[in-house]
Amino acid sequence: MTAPAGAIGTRTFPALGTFASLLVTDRRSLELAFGLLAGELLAVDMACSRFRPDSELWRVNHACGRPVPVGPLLAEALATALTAARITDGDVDPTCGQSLVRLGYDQDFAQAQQETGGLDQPPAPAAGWQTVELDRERSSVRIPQGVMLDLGATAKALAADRAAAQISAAVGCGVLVNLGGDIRVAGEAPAGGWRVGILDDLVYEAASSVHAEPSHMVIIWDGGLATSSTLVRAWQRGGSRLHHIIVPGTGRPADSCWQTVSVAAATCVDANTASTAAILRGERAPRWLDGLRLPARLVRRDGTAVTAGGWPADTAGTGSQA
Amino acid sequence: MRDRNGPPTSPLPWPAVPPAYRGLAEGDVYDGRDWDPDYPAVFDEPAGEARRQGLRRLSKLTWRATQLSAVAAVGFAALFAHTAHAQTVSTPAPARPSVKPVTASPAPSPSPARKKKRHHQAPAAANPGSQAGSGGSAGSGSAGSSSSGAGPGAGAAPALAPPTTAPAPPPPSPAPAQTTSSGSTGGG
Repeated sequence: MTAPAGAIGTRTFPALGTFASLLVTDRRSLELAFGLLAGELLAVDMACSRFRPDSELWRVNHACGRPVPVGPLLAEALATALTAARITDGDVDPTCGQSLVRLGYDQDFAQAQQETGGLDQPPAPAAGWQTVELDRERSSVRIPQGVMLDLGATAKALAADRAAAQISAAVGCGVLVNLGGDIRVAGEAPAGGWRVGILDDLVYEAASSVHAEPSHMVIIWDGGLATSSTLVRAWQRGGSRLHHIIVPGTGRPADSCWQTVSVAAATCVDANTASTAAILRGERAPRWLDGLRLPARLVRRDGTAVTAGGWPADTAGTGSQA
Repeated sequence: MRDRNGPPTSPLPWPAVPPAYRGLAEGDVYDGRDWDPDYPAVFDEPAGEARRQGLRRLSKLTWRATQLSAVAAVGFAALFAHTAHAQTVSTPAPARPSVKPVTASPAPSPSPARKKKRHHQAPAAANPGSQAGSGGSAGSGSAGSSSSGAGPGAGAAPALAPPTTAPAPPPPSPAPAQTTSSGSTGGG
């Protein structure tokens, strides 16, 4: 038995440098669910932010090669990032932090994109995820001096996974957590499933979300859905257009044939890992996603879409509401 | 003079008591000296006798060394058999399926970066602690792993798992989307 669609409660608010949307199938549970989500996001920010000087990740990145004790949340986030790196053959690498800094993404994105001057240093290839020494038994992490971790590829998705599971267990209804486009659903879906619009070429921000016009829409019932794009978190430095999806071997932004890739998977972490890796793998991505049976929609630079893994064919988009 | 290399013509009987103690009669006080009955205490015995005694000692030593070697060989065999079994169980071979579709791609583009990553892959694959299940976990998504020490997820096959139910197309005249997925402006 699914919940009636009209009972859905919704709340959207800024978080993690982007926005967070929370949908629950029982409107009465919204406040409790919001409290749980806000707490989880604060915990993730305190553990995994590359920009907060009071975060755990900051201490790890500035430990000059010494082991640093970490809490269970950062340990889980690091383990997740390392797993993502390993199963993508190093494409989604958490040691790209220094590469992003060299490209000018050295502070919160809203501030970083204000800078447009030339870059002072050449690109820095990633040190490689194998250089990260995570000891979960002793709860400590050590990275070589000069290496900087960036968990942007997986930490937000992990937060969506954790929050959705936590909220669903606490309030006992269906829940959808959307963190800047990284979506995880848990519990019983509403009647007709969750209707998710896909934005190919627009940035979905809290201020404009109500009027965002998706290019495509799908119904999801479980798991996670994530979209990676070279169009967002893009900035100009010295006349060059840069973005945040980095080729670990070169330290430069990926020059991909895809501008946007959306993937559905069992978890949001898996979906985000696959969508990011698909951008980096270029033309090989559809076959790779087919082999993993991951439903995906890949959009070329000219706007034409390719589907893989059982993603439904394109239909006309409709307006969204958040 | 007798040929030293020839067989003894009349082998002497094995002395019950070494010649050095022949004078020790029953009831005499033993002076506390330990003695080796095989050791030729008198060196002016015929050369054949000394040679026989030497060969006897050598043979005994050889036999004991053989026994010791056999025991050691059995011990090492048991140890290696146990170790090899444990390594087979914990080798993260299940990680391969998630990688294979990539390497099987008909149009690989091996760049220097790719080669470097493959080079790094070997030690990681040999480390059983560096894997964990990520897909399909219903709770917090990806289970954690560690690069040193096997966690709860060790031994599980890490892979990107598809959803239980694939996304479906919307009905012909759908209601507006409830939420939207796009690339994110935040994070990091």
